Amino acid sequence: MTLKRHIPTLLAAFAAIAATLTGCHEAPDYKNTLYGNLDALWDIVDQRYCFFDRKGLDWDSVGAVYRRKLDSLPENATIVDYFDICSGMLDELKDGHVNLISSFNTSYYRKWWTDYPQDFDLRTVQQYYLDFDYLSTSGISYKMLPDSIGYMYYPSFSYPVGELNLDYILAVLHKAKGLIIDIRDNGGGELTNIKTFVERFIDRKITGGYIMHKTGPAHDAFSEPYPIEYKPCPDYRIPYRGPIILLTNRSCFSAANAFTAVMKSLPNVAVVGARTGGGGGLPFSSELPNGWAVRFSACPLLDPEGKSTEEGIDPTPGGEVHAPAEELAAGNDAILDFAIAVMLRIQQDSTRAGSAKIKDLVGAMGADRVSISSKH
Amino acid sequence: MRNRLKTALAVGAAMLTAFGSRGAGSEGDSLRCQPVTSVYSVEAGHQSSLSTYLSPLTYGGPVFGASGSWSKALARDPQRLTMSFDTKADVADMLNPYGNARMIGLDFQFQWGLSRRWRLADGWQLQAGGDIGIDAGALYLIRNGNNPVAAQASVAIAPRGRVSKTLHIGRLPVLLADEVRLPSLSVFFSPEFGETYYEIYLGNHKGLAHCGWWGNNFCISNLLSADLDFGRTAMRIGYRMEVRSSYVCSLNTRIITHSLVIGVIPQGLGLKKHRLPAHISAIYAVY
Repeated sequence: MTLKRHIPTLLAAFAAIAATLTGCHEAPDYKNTLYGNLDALWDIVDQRYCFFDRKGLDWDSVGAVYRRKLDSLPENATIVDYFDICSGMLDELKDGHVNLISSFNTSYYRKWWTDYPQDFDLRTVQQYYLDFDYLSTSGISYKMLPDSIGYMYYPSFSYPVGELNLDYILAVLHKAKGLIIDIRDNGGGELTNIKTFVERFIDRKITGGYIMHKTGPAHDAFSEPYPIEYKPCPDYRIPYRGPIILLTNRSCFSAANAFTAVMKSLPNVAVVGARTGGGGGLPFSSELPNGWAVRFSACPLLDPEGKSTEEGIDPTPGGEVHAPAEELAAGNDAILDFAIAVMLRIQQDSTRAGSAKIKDLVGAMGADRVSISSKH
Repeated sequence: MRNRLKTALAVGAAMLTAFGSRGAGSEGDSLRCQPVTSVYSVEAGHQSSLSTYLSPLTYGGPVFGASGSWSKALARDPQRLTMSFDTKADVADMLNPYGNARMIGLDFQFQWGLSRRWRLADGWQLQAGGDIGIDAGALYLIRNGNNPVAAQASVAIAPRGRVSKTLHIGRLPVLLADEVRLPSLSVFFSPEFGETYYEIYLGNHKGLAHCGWWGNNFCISNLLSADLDFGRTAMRIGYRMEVRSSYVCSLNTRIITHSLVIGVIPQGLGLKKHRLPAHISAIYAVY
């Protein structure tokens, strides 16, 4: 009977506990106003963006500048003007992985590649090197070139590459005395595709890089780097362990950048072309109260030496080659020509004095190339 | 590992045996039984979900679910001890406040509990006890790229309380009840603040399991129900309020569900005593 009297009290106590504890950790409460959306955007980037230290950017000052721009927004301003202010704030990050996405526009910082030569023309390769006669699967175009040089072009890591697809490709190219993998203009895609490729080119387990993540909202709150490991493909898959040259240009970004970092570390691989465009941070998504989405770099990807890949990956020493637009238009791809020349030299060296190390050969031929061009 | 599996199977079999039997006993010339009260319900309502891992915005929309509850008085001390299994699954289809992005919420729960009860005068009954429960689910924000999912998983020990009263509306026996479950100690899953599932997939499992208490993993479930006993069967009408929240690694998750519950109790509640012969007494767990 005593308990019966306390039943209402017990119920009230449960309700009070519930009401109190659910309010313990305040949820963000951004208003769908001009200032509310800008504040939400600033906060999201402030808490989650991962490259403030590398960019040397005072994000507080940036926020203050763009709030002032909002103050001076004229009354007849349009939503496009407002979008420009928000995207302008993001452009201060100078990061190709940062986008503001609305129903009428997607902002995109383009200068990471527009300020550099393109060094590539797909039509030139297809017409003058492949004779418009090549095989294609999973987005990969491939062909055995003269002198037993294998060539494959992979335009985007967004194309899913199946193990069986790669088996077919390497079945055609496995007798190649050298393999050229062309990823110029590859803007990235799925990181998991890197594993599919790399495991065909290694004969032992390797650490191909590291990944970190933010552990809290502070700009310097990061986890310890976690190794990204690759194992050789199983015996029933077709590997390629011969010399490989990877062709890159400034438009290699994100997953293509990460792929370059891994491949460059392999002893049988040399990177030839131009420095990649970077994009060494795995992007996260979030959104604003007005429904716009925002994307930003959130998790730094490091190369096998533990260095940031955000600023791009340089070619192997001696492997920096550019392909001027006028030469490309005339049917000459200087980067591909250099790679073919290296492969031919490897074949000659193999017959004369044993197998030459491809990195050394690229270094030596690169030095010769520089000295010849400087004499001219 | 094999021994552990055998032990787990043996315990499970013993529990099911104890639960599944009608548990008859005898007191003098009369027979005593403890019927299982089974309740099967469908639920529909509204869910609001916030996961700052995915978005700073709170999504909201309809939620639909199904639940099952099985309870019986324990043969050992049927007047005082009751045991119950509860399971629930629901799916929510939510939009952000602007209405241009969709989030899907999935959740599955299972609890096994024991309670002590006090049968009071005037048809009142008070139950207090605890359970161990598993909760697994996910919020899937379709528009996101590398962080589209926030998975939820926890194992929790929860005190639970229930107060009920039997009454009649006209000639119809009704069981009114309010049941509260408050998970209090738990182990729950959460990635770190900016950790991708890709990194977890790569093998970094450090710091994914967290010890929970009311301060960082507050959950509560309240079911207010009216069971109308028609004799051979009974019907449940109820309202369920559920809060699942966590705050860990600077990530805020808050899922609040309000649902209308419509259920059926296939064997009825036994409030119409004339269904059983005079020499058989049935002791139900729910009243």
